[in-house]
Amino acid sequence: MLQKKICILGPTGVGKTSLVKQFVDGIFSEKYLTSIGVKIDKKLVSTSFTPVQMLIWDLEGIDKYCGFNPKYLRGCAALIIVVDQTRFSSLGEAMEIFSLCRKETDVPVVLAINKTDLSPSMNWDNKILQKHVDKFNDVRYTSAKTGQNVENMFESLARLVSIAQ
Amino acid sequence: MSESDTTQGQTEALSQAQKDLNKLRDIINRQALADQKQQRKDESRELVSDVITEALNDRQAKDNSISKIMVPIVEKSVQHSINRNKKEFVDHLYPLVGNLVRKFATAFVRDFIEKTNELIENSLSLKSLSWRYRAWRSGVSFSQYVASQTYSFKVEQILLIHKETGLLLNSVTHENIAADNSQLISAMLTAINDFVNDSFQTANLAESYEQNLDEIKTEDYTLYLRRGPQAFLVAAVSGNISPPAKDKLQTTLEYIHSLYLPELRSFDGDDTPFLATTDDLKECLLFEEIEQQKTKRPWLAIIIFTAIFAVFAYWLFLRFETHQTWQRLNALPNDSGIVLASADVTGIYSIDAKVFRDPDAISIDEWLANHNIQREWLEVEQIAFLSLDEPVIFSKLNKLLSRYPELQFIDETNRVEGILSSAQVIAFNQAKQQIPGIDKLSTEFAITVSNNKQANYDAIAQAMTIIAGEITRLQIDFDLASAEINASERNKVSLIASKLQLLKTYANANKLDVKLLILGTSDALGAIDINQRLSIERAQNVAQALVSLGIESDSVMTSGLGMIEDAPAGTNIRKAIVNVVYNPI
Repeated sequence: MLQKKICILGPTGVGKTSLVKQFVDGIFSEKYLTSIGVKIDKKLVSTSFTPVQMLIWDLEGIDKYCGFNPKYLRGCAALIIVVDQTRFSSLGEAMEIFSLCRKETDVPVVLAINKTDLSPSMNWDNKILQKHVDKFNDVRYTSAKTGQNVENMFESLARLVSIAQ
Repeated sequence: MSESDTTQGQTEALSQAQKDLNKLRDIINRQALADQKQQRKDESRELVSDVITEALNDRQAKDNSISKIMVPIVEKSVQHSINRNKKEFVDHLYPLVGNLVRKFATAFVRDFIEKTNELIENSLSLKSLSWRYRAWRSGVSFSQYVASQTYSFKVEQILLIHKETGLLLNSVTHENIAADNSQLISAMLTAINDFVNDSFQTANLAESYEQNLDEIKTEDYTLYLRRGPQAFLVAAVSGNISPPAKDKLQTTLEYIHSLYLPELRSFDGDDTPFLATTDDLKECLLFEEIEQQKTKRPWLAIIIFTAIFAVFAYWLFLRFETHQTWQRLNALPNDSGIVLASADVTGIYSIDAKVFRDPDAISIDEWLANHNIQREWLEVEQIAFLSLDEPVIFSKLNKLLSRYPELQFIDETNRVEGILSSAQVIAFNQAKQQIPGIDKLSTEFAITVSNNKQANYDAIAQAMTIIAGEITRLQIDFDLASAEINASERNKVSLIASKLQLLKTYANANKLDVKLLILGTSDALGAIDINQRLSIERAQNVAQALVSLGIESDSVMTSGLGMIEDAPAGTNIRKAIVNVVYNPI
């Protein structure tokens, strides 16, 4: 079976864990998250090529006071960086995270613009977003609440990593 | 110069020219060949350098010949290099070796302390005593038994995890263990290891050393992690794994690395190549079950218990038997001149008894044998008494009759018949009257006196002579300057009285009167008159004593001889001497 390690990162409060919950039915509690800064779930995704067992490492929210353990990125097949469209500052923070990740790995990265069930921030600037879009292998507008594009995003990611195989 | 000479010269010149030309051609051609060869070399080098790695890899994969060739060369090179640069090698290896030694020593000490702690904890506990007993029962040393108890374990699950990605490469479990979460556990362990690694990283002068997980303990399981360059091997173990099993984990991991190194290096999520490791991993599913004690009959306990029970039962039986004998002894009738005064059980087959026994009654042994009582069980203290039981009286009478063969006892008539001389009749009657209780018998004595007068007279005279002699020999001794009869001498006085009565009976038959002449004496010490008076008092006191015993006063005469001089030294001369005096009637 093909297995892939996927890391999901993003600033604090952008809805990373909600996205994963929406995608899989996690078996580990939140305590695990607060203990060592990562929560791991798995889900088998069927693609047109081959089924992919996705091991999703949900890294603790990252802010300017708290980085992330770069060792968690070792061996990952792809990254998802999540931003909150209701908080424009999260985009800048996400790009900083992106830069940090690029120092560790050059695997495909998907940008998830989350909370589309809410109105975007007043100062949300698509022009600035467009400047960064090319750096990502895919950009998805998602809603962990409604489930919009969540399944699609992960299935697309599964295809991406299986093709890379 | 002739034409032929000219031709010859031209030919030689031409030949020389040809040689030179050939030499020149050789020189030109050699250079060209060298250039050509060099060019081929350069081209080949370029070609080989492009493919040498792949070619070596392919050949190695094909027939394993590269390693065969390279190993001796590399070994020789390394040896040569070490010999030349020992110091540099030591400098490079020191941190690595030091760290390895330190880790090994730490692991050894920790293991040793754990085992020691366990031993100490168990050394004085109830479990320890139980183990010591079981070790003794099993015939093994205590330490061996403790080891067998300590090292019982079961490897429940083995996970082979890719180090870089934390993805599960393969896993094996016992059949009854669910392994659904193996992939998550693999990822989780990797994350925890990364977390530990990041949290407890220590700086070293040369480089940073990673702190990695070695063991994770839960209540029921211990996870043992063994790390390789490309993969982890994780064993979920219940119990306390033995050192050989730990070694097996390590050697299996090394073996997998040696076989699957290319696949491990190029792992990209596809675990298919590692399915072949299943058999190797299954070999790590080791277990050492605590040998269940077979349900054995506790023969030793049974034997001991039986022996104790048998001894106790035997003791009870002996006690019962002794008590029964005691009861029978107490129930014996008092009809044989033997009366049981008391009987006490003092132990097994040990009874102390006090009995009153008439001297003429049957013996104690006979008495006990008649009643079927074990003689050896009894310690008998006899107290003499005179029995008035008829069997005892008859026994005494029979004893008396045995001295007179002329007499017969007729059972049918209960009579004693026979003919005796008059002296014998007297003696028989005297003896018969001394039997206590003889009057209780209804036996009739029909004894006829012999009509031979002379014979009767002679017999009586002979009997009188014997009795008179016996009386004369009974001399009463006194203390110095005393006329009092001692208690020890009073028996003599009693005997004199009884014999005098018998003598009177005989004398009367022969028409004679009998009197006693008692003569008192004293020693030569003291005044004559005092001694005279003392001798008279001694004679008179004896006479008085005889009178008090029923002897007529006129049958006794007294006189004092006074002191006896010139008595031999050591002779007690303080006496009362009795003489028999006959007078015709």
